[in-house]
Amino acid sequence: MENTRIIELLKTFSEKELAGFDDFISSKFFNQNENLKKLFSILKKHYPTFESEELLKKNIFVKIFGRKNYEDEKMRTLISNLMKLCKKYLIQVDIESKGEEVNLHLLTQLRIREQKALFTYEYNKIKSSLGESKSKGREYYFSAYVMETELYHSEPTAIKDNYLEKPLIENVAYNFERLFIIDLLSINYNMLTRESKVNYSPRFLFLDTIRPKIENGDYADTPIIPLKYYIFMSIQNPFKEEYFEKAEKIYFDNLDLISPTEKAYINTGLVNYCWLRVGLGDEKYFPRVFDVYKIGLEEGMYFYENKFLLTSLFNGIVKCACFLKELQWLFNFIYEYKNKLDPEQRKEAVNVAYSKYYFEKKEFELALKHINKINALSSILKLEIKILTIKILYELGHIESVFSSLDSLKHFFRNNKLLHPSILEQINSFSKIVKQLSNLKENNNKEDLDYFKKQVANSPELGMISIKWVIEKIDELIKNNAKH
Amino acid sequence: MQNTKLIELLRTFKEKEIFGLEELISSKFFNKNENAVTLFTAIKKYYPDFLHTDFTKENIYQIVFGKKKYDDEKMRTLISVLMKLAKKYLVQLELENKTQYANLFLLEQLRVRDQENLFDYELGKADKHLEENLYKEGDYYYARYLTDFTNFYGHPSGFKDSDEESNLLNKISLSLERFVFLEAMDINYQMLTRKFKMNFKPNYIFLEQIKYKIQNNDYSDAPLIPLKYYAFSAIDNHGREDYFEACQKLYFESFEKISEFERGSIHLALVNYCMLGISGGDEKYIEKAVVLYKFALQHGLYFYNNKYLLPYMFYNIVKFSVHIGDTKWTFNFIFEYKNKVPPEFRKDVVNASYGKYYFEIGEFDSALKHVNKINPHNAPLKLEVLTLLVKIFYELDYVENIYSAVDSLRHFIKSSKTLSPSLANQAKHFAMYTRKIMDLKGKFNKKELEYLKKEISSIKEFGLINQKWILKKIEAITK
Repeated sequence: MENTRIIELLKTFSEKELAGFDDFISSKFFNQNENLKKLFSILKKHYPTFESEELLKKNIFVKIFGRKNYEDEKMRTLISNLMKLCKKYLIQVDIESKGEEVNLHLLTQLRIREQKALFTYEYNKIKSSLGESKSKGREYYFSAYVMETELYHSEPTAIKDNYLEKPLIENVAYNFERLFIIDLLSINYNMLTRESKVNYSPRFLFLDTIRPKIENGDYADTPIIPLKYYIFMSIQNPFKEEYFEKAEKIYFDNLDLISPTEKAYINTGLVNYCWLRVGLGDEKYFPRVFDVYKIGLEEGMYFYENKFLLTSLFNGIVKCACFLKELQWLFNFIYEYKNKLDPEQRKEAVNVAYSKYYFEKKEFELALKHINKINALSSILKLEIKILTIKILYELGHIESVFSSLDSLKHFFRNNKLLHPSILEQINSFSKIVKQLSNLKENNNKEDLDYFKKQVANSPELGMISIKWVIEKIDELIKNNAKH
Repeated sequence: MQNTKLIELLRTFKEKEIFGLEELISSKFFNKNENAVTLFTAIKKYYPDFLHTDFTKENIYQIVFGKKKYDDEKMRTLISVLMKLAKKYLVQLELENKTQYANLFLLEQLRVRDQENLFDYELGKADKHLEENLYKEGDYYYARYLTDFTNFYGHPSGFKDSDEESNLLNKISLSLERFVFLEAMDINYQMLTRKFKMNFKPNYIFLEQIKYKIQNNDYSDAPLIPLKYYAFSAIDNHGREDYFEACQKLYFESFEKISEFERGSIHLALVNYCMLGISGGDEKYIEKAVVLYKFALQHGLYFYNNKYLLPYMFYNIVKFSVHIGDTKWTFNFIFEYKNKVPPEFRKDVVNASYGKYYFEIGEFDSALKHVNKINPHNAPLKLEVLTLLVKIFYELDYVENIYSAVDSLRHFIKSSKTLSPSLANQAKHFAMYTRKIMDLKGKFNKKELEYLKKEISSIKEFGLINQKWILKKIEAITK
């Protein structure tokens, strides 16, 4: 039984949930099969590890059916029925977690049954609960839209005063419009970020329709709408800093009115914009993004929606701290958060982080040791490792290895058509410049180095981190030349 | 006990639902209060009408708590516990009808518990349910959107196959867009119909964007989207016959592809369009409306969710079909569907319909016999009957009766508070001009009658059928 899906699932249950499941199985409303109760009472004794001889299918079979001739099919059917119940139970758990939102389903039933007084009572209850909520985000408008629609349809012909009908339909339209705009801005944002990562052409939803209305202040009563919009616009138009400034202002002015989930979402948007600016060579966004990260970490924002810290966020924080040489902070960060990464990506992400940390500390052997532990699967990670390895090899003076690694890098990007064109350009530039740097390391003069330095400083496609490193290396060569 | 909200609610329960509620109350998962179980056992004996004289709070109290002194507060608290359980049961019932939402709740739980394999398995099942059980309409697109979004967020670190992720994002966007089109068109349509009823300037949502999309994209896989748009546009731009034609054509062609509910709602919009045409004085819409009524009856459209036909719709079907001369069909219709009129309206509507039928085929005595059997309380029907009575008396040449019937009609228009202003106005014209004709009838003043004819023809708010009848009568006098 140990490796079955049902056990895997039961392992995720809290003690309270397990007790709840016990009540659930005993409820005739959901289950009328006595053998399922028996099966569960055997299983639950071994919660939470579910490791015991008693849990061998054959032993369980004897206990339930009292016979020794084991019938696997019978046993499998029983387990599968328990699994079905378990899923039904999870649906109930989710319903319980939804609070007043579930009562929207009740409104529908009361409307169908024409229970006007009860309908009004439940409607007012949901309305007052919504009135108490501080933030007006997706959940708020969803509930408001559904309840107003139910109200509208609860008396389609019985409203004697026509003028009462007007606000009813206007309320439906008002809430629906806001709900939908919040949703479409989320999708548009997801498409936009995807466009920046891979070769993808998004088809944004309703953007031209909502733009004039938002910029005109039509949704000022729902700050999350202009906020999401300006985040979107800032990322789409990285040169127009005013969009970012507007987003930042609305964010801080309305922090208390934004739901935790949206706070995290907006934080990520601000982070993304800062990285875009960094990509454009604007160094002042490094400390800015570092502050945004720190706020996100301090408020636990990155864990509102996700159980684990997203690897992309972790990598970004590491990169930023390296650039700002916040090495002690970085070491503590890696130590504190490494176990909060998705276990499937943990090994790779942590080793890259340590490798970067040791690289910045100029402990190149250690950096190489960590990087050699990684078996990257994603193209982006592979690329990052290849670049870091080349830098380490250069620092260690293994120039022949640098050349062969550059060849491998070239080969890699030629075969990878999914990478975004700007990344391909970055790899190309990096290859050329490191090759030149390596050649100059062997044989150079001050004039060549000065010229090369200027050339590197004017190669924004290389990325600020690499520019900074190459210039540092050129300066070292110039310094060495001067000594000799 | 009989008048409590709980009992009122339980009266709406089917027998099967009473059993279901009993199981829920007996379930430890939902209820651990034994007294609530006893209370329900005591109450359910009185199902379905809950009217027995024994059925009092005091008697039930004794069953639950034994022979103690009656404590109203205790009893009320227990009733309220039972009420809460009944509400929980209704939520369960609603979710049983909406499997797509239950599937989403399960997916969400599997996602937070990192049960990736199970998540993918259940996602496949949820997909299958959506594709096999839902029409490509609002519920489908919303559930599709949420399910795909759950899938997207179920892989926070991205998908192994990058194309798969891009396609998923496109799919999410498409589903949301289509859901919004359908929902926005519903809301816009509701606003539009309010515009006709009151002084209201609707602020339509996303109309221009929807218009652009419909004109530039293919929606053959989701015909309800253009259907809703055409239905809205036909009514909003009444002169534009092409919208109505496009809507009707697509409706007949796509009938099998849309849900029963939407078949009804689009049909209603098409009929409403015809009604607008009729009230605008265009007779061809009477024929169009009859085609739609016949189609609806042929496909059982009016009975998908309703046991009965709406009374006024029944009468309209008779009024219009008999007007275009389809008398045999009308007679068969009344005979076949009379029992489908709600019992409380049946006598009035069926007699008014027979009255109308016999009037049109010239059997005025039979018509009068039927009309005399009734005195409807429903305002529009009463108006129809009073108008018909005036016409019958006229045809029978019962002069004194005509005057008194006209007076009754005027009095009714004046006193009725529920009659729509447009109907009241039409009836006012009818009463006024019938009286004028009566006054002129004896004088045979051809000139004045001709003048009256012109005057009546120029009145827009007269009501097509009545206007046609009254002009015919003037013509008969002048001849």
